[in-house]
Amino acid sequence: MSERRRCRLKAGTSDDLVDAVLVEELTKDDLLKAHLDWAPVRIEALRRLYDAKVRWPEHWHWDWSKKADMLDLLAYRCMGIECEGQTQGLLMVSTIAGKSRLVEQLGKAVLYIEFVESAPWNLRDLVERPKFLGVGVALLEAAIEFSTTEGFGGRIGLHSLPQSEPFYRRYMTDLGPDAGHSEGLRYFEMSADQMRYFLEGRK
Amino acid sequence: MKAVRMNDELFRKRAAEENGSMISAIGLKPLHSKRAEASHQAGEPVRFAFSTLICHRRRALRLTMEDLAQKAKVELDELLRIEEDSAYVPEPRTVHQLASHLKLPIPQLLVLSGNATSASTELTEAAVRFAARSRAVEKLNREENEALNEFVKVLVEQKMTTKKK
Repeated sequence: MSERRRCRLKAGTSDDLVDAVLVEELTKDDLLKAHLDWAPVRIEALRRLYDAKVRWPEHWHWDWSKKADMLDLLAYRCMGIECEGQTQGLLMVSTIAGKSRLVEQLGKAVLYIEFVESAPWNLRDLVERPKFLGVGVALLEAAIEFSTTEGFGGRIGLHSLPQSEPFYRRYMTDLGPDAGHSEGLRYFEMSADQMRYFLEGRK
Repeated sequence: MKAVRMNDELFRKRAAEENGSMISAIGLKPLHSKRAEASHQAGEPVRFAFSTLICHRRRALRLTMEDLAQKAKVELDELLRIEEDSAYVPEPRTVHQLASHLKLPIPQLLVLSGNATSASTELTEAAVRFAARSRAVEKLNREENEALNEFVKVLVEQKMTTKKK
């Protein structure tokens, strides 16, 4: 059975922290349920954005139930954050070590984040008042911890969608557009120093 | 080693920094779909060229299947499938091992085997030519030797960028 651990999110409308649960190994059914929960809210938000002639988020078409087949492979692990009975964010990582591209840790093992997404009701571009804040932070924290457990030293890397770049640029090194990525997305990586800053708040 | 978890005060600060912004990231395509795509791109003649290349190169180096399987640390039945079944897509590790022991360039072999894609048409065209000239015989004749050497030359000389799995 999948391990569940306490974590927290920040309430969207106050400074309070809210108890949440990090589920460390989601099943295909979990992903399908998350998709069914998220889809109506996303469609409603997209309808509003369309009417207002506002650009849609780049990941508007993502369907986590279609990513579920990846869980047939041992190489992938999916984690999620639950709060108030709903999935608030999803993270899929590859358990096959990538290699660091940062000079200071070149060639060392890196945990590669395949997909990450926050529930639509937590995104300011989709709803006026996000329900919870800090989903991305909590998922990054979980990824760092998993990277540490797997022996990757807490190092993590990912390809960010353009609209998400400001979030990752705050805590990770932007290594620029990656010609090896099918969509040419920018590759971000977190060094050991950046990990300490992210987790402890000091440089 | 255990990762330090951030305290609640810092989490509150980080959550405020995130402030409901987009966090979506998308990885390189999943392993199985990338292999399927690469395999599809390679096409039947190219994969036939890969099977034939492995077989002819092995024979040119005077290695039995057992010899090569042992040296390259590849299962004998997998080597047999590679040489006999052009639809079979071997694992990248197997391709690496065979490339090393047959003294063939790894990136090109990954493309031919259906494990990687390439924008280059030169390799594909050379592979199709090689496949067309190859015939299954017990001993390599001069023409096959020439075809083999010519194809190996193209492989070795070609500079290319591949998308590995």
